[in-house]
Amino acid sequence: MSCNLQKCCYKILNEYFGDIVARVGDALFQKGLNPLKVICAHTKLPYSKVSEALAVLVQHNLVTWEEWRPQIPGYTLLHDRILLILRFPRYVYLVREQYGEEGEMVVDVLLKEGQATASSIIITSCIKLYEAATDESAVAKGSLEQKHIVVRNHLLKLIENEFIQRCPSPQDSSVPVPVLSIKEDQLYSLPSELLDLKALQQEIQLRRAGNTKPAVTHPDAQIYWRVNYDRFHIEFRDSEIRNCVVRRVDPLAGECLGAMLKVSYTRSDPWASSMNVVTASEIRDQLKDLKYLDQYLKILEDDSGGCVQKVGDAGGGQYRLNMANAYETMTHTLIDNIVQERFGSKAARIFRLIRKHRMMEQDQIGELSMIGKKEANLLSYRLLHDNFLRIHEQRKTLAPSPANKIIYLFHVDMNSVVRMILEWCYKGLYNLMVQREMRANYNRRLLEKRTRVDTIVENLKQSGGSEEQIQEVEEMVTPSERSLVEQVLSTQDKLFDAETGLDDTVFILQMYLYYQMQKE
Amino acid sequence: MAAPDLAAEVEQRVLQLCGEFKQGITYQIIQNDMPTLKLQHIVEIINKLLATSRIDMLKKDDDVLVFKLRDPGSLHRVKGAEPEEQVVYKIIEESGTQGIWAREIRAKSNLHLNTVDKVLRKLESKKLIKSFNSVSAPKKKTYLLYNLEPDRSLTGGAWYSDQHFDSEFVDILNQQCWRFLEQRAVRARQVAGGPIAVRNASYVASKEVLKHISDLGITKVQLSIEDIETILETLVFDGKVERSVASEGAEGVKLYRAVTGLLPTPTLMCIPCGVCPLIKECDDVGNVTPIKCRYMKEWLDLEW
Ligand code: SF4
Repeated sequence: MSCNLQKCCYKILNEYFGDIVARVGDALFQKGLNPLKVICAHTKLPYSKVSEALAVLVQHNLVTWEEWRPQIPGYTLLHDRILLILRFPRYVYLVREQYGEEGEMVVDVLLKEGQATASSIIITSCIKLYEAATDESAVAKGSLEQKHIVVRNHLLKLIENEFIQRCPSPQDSSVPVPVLSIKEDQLYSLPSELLDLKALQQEIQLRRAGNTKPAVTHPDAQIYWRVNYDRFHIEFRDSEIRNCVVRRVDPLAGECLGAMLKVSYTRSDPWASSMNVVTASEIRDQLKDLKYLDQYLKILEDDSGGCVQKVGDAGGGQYRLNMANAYETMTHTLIDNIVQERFGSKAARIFRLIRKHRMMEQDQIGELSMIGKKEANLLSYRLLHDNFLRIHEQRKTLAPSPANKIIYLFHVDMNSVVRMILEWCYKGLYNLMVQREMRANYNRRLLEKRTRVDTIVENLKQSGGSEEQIQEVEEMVTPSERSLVEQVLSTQDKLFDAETGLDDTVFILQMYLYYQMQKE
Repeated sequence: MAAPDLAAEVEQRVLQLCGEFKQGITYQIIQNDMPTLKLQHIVEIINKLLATSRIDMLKKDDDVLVFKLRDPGSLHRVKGAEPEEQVVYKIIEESGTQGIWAREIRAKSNLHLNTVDKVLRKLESKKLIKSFNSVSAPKKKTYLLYNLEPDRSLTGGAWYSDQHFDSEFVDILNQQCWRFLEQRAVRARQVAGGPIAVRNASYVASKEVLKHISDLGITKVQLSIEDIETILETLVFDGKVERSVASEGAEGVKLYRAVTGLLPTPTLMCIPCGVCPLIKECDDVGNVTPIKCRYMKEWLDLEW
């Protein structure tokens, strides 16, 4: 278990849930499965605080429990899930692309809540949508009245498409350590009798009127939902591959691959490394107006990094999608890029050369790479030193004798390189987060002042304050302060973007490791 | 095996031909002269003549084998010399264009190393042999006959100047070849007729690359197809180029084309930590921490 990952998790929890949750999470990370008491002892926090923190973690699907000793639950941290918090913007973005604003709001609310009932999702989303819409008088009043129905429809669609799933629930809640379970057929269905549209509308109106705790009961109070990350990851995974193909060939090739994926999913487990066969004619049905389909299929076969494989000629050509291959090629490219950036293009050449030949002797490297012997040696040893290469000693016989020269063979252990890069990513993430936090703290006063002034101005505008008044307030922030704020905000954005970008690299590497594990 | 008398006759004829063509004869000439003879027989005869040192075998630039009458003069020149000189000369002569080390000469001749050294110096001063350093073992002197050019494997071919690997030259060629292929690929995207046509248009035969490079005039050395293919292979290892083989007549032609990488530069490499030499040392405490980090600061303040 890596210390970089641990630090990352700590930072994320700290940022999203505060210090206490972060400390509890950290203790669980270090100690593994443990009961409440041990966590208290370890964190030196009072009982009540720890159980509160655990509740938050459970609510956000970050902790599970099981029976540790009879009648006593032990808790486990799902640290992979913590990293997913960084991916939230991507999830939201994806839903926005596919389902529009309402879908986006639903997922956004659910991600913030961790788990929520369908009615509360709909209510919160609606209220937020109203708020967002108030300035735009363009939105007709009538359509707002019916918003909850639109939102409900989107929620249903998201559930139907498995982006959102039902949480398992305790079979018998009277026992001290309940076991959660759910029937397969309930996972992705929201029976309509669970939603009382009238009650929803009523509550929305009450809340809008300023009543924070309206006493409306909903029939689905016991049924919670959560985001199904895996479903999102399938989308991410596919779009990574599609992007590669688009980069390599052209957008139409990407579409072609998209159609193949679509047909494949109708008959295969989306997480299998290699999908079931699809035929060219089935793909043709999907892409009626693509002019050069046959040619594209041929090209994909050669140029998709082993993703598209031709397996037969029946039905105009039979194809199989191999995700494991695709991710292997992608990861190779990724690592090559990293070597190239870090050690220069000649080192990348050597690295690739050795990977392709599996095992290579020193002399061969220089000869084939066309790099001067000295330089080639230097570069190979630098790569060796930084653990990108491994060395393998080969003796002709076991008996030691001076004539029996030892042959040193260079080779690449891909899995360990990938693990190392993952570590780097975690470390990079952590460093970025530290930097972001530090800069935010440093400029906290300034940022707060800015926000304060902005709210005052906003209020003045709403209450119809005069231009002069507004200007006066605005001038409380000096131009130099203003530009500093801009600068701080833009660095924050830059850091945040970099974090999201790093997560993308993490995603590819994790996919690679997942498929490697399948192989074994 | 041909009948013995026939063999003798052919032998005579071959020698005669050699006499007629002073610049040497090829298989083709022998075959034309005696069309009934099978190639296998010719080879037998030639081998015999070579074994008895009646003729010499040479390789021309285009890899065609040429046979010449052994120049009696070469032995002549050492004739008056001491027997040691003759022996050493012969050994060096046998080694041909591959050359031979002093140590090996000693082993073969059974002479004392000092004697060998002395003889070598003498022969060298008489301009009968010459020495040079091969690229694979630059410290050791290799000897060969004065009028021979050392084999490519010893000089390293076009990539070596003065026994030093000319990496700058290789880099320039590498870049130029890539630029050429890249231009072709860009142009190919305009080709109509579907993706396969586009792809085919982006392929360039190694011959064509060679011509382009020669036309550029960046190299004084005449490069061969193999040379340029070696360079193109480095591009393949760089992941920038893809190779394919097409058949042209009976021979395979190597085709190359520029390709785009599957992924853009990963974000890890766009942040300072990715390229940071101190990533292993960086921690929360100590001198290298993300808070104190200079690289971070420079990177973030870049645009301001
Ligand atoms: S924070 Fe600075 S010192 Fe630490 S790894 Fe990143 S760039 Fe290097």
